[in-house]
Amino acid sequence: MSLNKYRINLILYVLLFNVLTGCKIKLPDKDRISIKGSDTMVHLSLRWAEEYMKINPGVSIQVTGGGSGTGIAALLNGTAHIANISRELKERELKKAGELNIEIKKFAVALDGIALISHPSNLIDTLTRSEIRDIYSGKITNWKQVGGADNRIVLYGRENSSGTYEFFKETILGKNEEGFQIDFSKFTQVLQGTAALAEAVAKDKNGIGYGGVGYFALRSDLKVIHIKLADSLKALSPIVDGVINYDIIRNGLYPLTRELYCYTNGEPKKSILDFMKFIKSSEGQRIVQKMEYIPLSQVD
Amino acid sequence: MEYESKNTFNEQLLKKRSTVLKIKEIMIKYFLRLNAFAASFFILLIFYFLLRESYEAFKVIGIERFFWQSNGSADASGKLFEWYPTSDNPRYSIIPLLAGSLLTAFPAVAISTIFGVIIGVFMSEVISNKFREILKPVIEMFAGIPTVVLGFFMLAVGAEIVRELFGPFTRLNAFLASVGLSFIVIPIIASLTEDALRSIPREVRMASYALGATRWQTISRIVLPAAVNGISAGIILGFGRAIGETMIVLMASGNAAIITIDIFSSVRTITATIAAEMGEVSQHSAHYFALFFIGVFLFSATFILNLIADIIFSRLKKRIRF
Repeated sequence: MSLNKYRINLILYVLLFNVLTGCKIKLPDKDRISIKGSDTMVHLSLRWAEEYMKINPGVSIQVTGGGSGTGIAALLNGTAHIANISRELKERELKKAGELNIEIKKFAVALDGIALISHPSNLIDTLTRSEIRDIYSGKITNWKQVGGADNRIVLYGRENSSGTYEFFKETILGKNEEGFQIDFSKFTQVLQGTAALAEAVAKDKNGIGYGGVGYFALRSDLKVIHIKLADSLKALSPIVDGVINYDIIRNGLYPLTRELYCYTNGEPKKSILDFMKFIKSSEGQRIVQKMEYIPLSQVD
Repeated sequence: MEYESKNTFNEQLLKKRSTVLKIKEIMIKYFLRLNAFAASFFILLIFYFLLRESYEAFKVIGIERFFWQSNGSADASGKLFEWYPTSDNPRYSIIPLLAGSLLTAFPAVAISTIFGVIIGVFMSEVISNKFREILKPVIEMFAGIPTVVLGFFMLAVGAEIVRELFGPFTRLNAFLASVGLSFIVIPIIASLTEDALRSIPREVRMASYALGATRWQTISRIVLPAAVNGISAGIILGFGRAIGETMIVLMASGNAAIITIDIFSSVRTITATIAAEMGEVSQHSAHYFALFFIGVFLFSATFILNLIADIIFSRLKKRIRF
């Protein structure tokens, strides 16, 4: 009896040991590329990956979103090979990389413009940069104050993990007298993703929102607001009659323009480098244009 | 001779079989024991992890800043109750999030109590057993709807209905979220109310009828008061569920961290904040610890609520004999 017990214990321990060690065995790292990061870039990355895998069947690419912050975190802790980042890296992120002794490498892959959107019935067509700042920081709360109808403004924004959030905060809200970055009004409603935001603004006649140009180009249930840098300058819109105005985004005239990056952990291995080359090629940049983002340079 | 050998053979077979059975039984016993130990071990690990991280949180941020920021200049009292974890001047006050959680959970529980108790009374006192066998699973099925589906439903359909009915200023608001929460809280309260009512002995009702009370009088003055403990335990459990629910509030509440008592205002709850921000936060940053603190806060709150409900239930069992 006691012998039996002993035997069974032994069997169980051996089994448990096998299970535990079994978990440790790593899958072969055979040309598997995992990409994580900016939600703005998910669709674009997916298309790149699809096209690239068509040409190179030996490579398997997996793309997930989650935000630029998630992407860089995943790159640094080794769960992603490429991080899609739609903003400049923050100091603390660079510091983290330094602490971990990781030399990250940056590839500019495309451009993006951020559009300011409202309900089509809104009377406002143009806003100056300072008006947008006051609206989003909560100083202006009624459309009347910027020449519209007498209605309170409903602010829509993104999660604080989103690159769009950071970019908009930096370029539009700017800094206060004490040198602190101005925060979004606490009345800003936070939505998960640009698609949800577009949906919300389309259904709210007092709403205002912001997001990547690509999402709004083909939507007739949204109005893209023209942005004026200063009173003397011409108001600019990244989308005119449903067509993206590439020139003002590429030459930087439109204020809400940003570069999109892919970051890798050190000098990438060949399979990843090849993928980067593909992205920068005219083939890859044509996909950028097709996906309603802005190619780095003119493609035919 | 021959007979004897056959007999020993049979005996041997029997013995063999019984040892196989015994081994089987012992193996099952050990397997179950292993599972039980593993489960409790993991729970202990979770406890340990939470306590360790929240201890770090106190060290890194300090307990005061979890409630207010005192160096702010804007507020009249000099204290800022705001949630801006990624700001240049980060503020980690749990107060707006707690207010948001309560502003979604309380109306949800109020709505659910009304409907839940009515349904519970209906199932226990009014309808026949046969009908109840059909109704009860249907009610309980509501609790099984994936909350992300409910959240999406509220976002896409519920928001329009609420706007038509009440015309709120913000489309996504606390009320919308609490209606969504009611879908999962009503089944809890209804089912526990029904249990509580059915545990009241038949004699009590019979005595009431014998005194000339009508059915409604019996329900409202005799049975319901007698079951009030069980019902309140159900309500507390429902509250715990409402305050811990994530997906519905994340999708339907609008997530603006405002301290308000306006039910048609957008609010941000503790759970939605953790769900939305935990994914991107860099480990061991102040923001990460702040999320841990509000998580521990939430965990303690729901733990205490469940404990209270449990105590009421166990008291109920002791007391139920009249």
